[in-house]
Amino acid sequence: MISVKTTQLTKKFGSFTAVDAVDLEVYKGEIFGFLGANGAGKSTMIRMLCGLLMPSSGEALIDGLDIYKESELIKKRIGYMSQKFSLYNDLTVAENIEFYGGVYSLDKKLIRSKKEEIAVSLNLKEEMKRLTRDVPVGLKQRLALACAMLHDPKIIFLDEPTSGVDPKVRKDFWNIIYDLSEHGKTVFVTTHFMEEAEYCHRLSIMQDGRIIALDSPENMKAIHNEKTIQDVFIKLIKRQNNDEI
Amino acid sequence: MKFNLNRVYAIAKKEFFHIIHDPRSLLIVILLPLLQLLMFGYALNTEVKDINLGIADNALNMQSKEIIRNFEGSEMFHVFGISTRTEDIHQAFLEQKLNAVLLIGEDVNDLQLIVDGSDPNYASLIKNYVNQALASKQENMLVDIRVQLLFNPELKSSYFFVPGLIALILVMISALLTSISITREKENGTLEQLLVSPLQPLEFIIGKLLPYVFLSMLIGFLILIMGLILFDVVFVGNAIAFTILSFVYVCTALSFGLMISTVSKNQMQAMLIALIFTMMPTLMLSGFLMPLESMPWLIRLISWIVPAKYYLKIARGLMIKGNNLGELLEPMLFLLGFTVILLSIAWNRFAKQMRELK
Amino acid sequence: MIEIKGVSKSFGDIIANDNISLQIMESEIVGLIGPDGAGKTTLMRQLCALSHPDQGNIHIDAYDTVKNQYEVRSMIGYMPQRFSLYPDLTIEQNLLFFANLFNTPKKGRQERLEQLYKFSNLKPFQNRQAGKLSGGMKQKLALSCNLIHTPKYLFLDEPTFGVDPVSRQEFWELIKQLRDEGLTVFVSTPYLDEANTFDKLALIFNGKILAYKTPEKIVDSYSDQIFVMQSENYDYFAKMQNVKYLYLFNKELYISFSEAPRQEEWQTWLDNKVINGYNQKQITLEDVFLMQNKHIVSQI
Repeated sequence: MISVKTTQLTKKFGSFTAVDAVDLEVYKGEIFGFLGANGAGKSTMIRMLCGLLMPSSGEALIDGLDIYKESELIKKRIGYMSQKFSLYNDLTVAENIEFYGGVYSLDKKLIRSKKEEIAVSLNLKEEMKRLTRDVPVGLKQRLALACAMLHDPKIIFLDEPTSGVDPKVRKDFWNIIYDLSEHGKTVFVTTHFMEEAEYCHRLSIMQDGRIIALDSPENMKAIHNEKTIQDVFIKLIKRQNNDEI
Repeated sequence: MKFNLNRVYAIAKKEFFHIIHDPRSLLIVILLPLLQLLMFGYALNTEVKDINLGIADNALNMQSKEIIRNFEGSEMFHVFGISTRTEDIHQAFLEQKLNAVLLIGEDVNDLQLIVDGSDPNYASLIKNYVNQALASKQENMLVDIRVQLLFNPELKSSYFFVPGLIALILVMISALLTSISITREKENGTLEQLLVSPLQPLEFIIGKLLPYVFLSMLIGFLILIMGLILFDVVFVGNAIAFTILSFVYVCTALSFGLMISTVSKNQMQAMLIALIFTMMPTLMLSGFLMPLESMPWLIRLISWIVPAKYYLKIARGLMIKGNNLGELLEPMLFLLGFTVILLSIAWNRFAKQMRELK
Repeated sequence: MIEIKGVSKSFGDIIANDNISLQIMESEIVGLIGPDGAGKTTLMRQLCALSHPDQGNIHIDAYDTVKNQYEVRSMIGYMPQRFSLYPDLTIEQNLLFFANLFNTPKKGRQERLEQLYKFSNLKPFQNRQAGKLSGGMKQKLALSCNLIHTPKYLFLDEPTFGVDPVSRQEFWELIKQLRDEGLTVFVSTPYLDEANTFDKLALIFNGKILAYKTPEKIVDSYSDQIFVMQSENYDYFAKMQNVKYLYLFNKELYISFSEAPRQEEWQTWLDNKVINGYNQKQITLEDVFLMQNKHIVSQI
């Protein structure tokens, strides 16, 4: 089942084309990775799919909904977490959860049960009453994800969710991503960590607004005859750069 | 999608938490106005005491002695007898021993007052007091310039600075706090998180502004009450009318704060813009510190767009004169007009920015 | 040479550095690897004389970081975590600012600038504002700013944060070039693939240095065997006495035993469908890192 589909999706900022006629089909329950250099168009792509940016041209369907006409409905079905974690550091952990619950107009009972659920799964007790700025970064990361998932979205966009955390915390975080996928959620991820790229079901490598490679990590490595995605990535990007020169 | 009150409530509640989790800033926001009140109350006092008055008596008769005794009997003046030589008088001014010199000519009716004009405000006050002192006793000698002061017979300065201070604080706090709190969300990336949610721009704005309306109004009342207690300000008008009109004024200021948030990139910019565009015009161009009537036409023209000018009319009118709402219709309409204009511009800009956040 | 002797540093009840001793030789890239909150930044700051040890001392060449902090600072370059330049200044203005800051002699300054431009490839962009550079270029500029006074020692705290793999590779090529010219580099990074290419690694956990060797030796000296089992029976193995390490990742269990199971045991697990298959895993740096976290992972 197709979860996200784009046809010739394009975004221009003035004369600069950030995303250039991208065709994409991502399936329900898939973990789909966006790789690329800074400024290659990953973030722009994700921001369009989330409704943060209007495309310049092209089509996109999110869970069957049109990105132009049904953006309000789309917002209820997607979750978004950025590398900034988007939590209010001067609010307590509980207040953050309550706030995001309120923004999605969940009723009080549901917010309360979600709060308990999060407290159990993140193993939080007294931390609930602590200011968010005082909790460790790994916990903050999982809390940010929990807040982005309060309204039980079908599709989740994770924009560099693991930047700035250590290898153990990153690996734990990927366990959560696998779990989401198992529960039928479609997960979009961008990352600069190439070992994480290997964890994705399918990967796309972007450069200059275009997808220059799209496949499963295993196939990608086999096709380019490299041991790691890191090597594939460097090979592809460097080749592209050389072509341009 | 429908406007949803729960989401407004969620935003307002969160904003309230921001405020109470930062007690230091809250304390500053509350203490600063009180400090200003005390400073204005005790430092910017226009009631003059201890004028050092030199009197050079060339008449040396009963009438001139009478004049001198009259000044000596006043609390306001310290009288020094000095020589009539111009150089001595000049020297006394240079050494700042004297603030003014009264020359009594050989004919007692030939009076001349010389005042140290280096502080013009002070000088004109001294002139008034001397005139008054002469007028009160020497009715037979001088032209009777009987002044009757309406509403503020004792010329209490608190009558003029308390309403002015309320005008200043309301606009400063409303514009400053709202613009900072909105730009903070932009800077921290939390606005982005809200934009991917079903939250509507209008819900965001209203939720965001509500806590600051209450905070501003609260502080406004605090100043009023302190003014009533500490500086014997009167309040003869209708308190409900005062609340309603203050609310209108706060709305003007909040719209301005929203406007600032759409043009500033970070909290620092927002703060500077808010301070410059609220403090200076309110202090200088509203008739708070200086009467507008004495200013050049260009400045007077500019003062037409300073909201504080209208609020001052309202606050002074209600506190001191006891105007009713009907008599304050004009300034109220001006404030409403400003609010509508500012809000529609700010609103358009803000909604556009929210739709397409770069 | 950098000599760290018995350095301890606490913040209230938290012991950030616990009796750390290390010797860092010249012309080496030494990586400091450990989880968040293990005390990496604390140690880094003490090396730069930005904070003082509670106990122990640090000597950089002949200089004590407490007594001779200004001598120390003129010999070192330090790029703090998420170091950012003045975004409204151009590349050249940023570089010259740092040149002035370190009071480098006017004579030879231009040559040094040209040298840095050449090596970082930033020359064509010298008049561009730092805020308008790509992540990789910002990193190179930050590095150049810290090299303008030709330091002998360079301290980098997570220098490649948020930078793509190609730019990262370029960055490390520059660093290695500098190392070959005699620079000593002490660096912390969350990227273990980078760490694998350093000369030596210091593993830091809970404020203690657990190992200080070349990356190969760190992996080799790890004597335990790790098995990957196709199984999700986490609880079954978690209860076993001789399990030293257990981690569930993507439907596979990573496990190490204090005593490797006998052939019959494996067979029983396979027959009883406790596991659906297993094989021994070649140990990587990541495994070494993960196995230091003794606590059992909470289930989601």
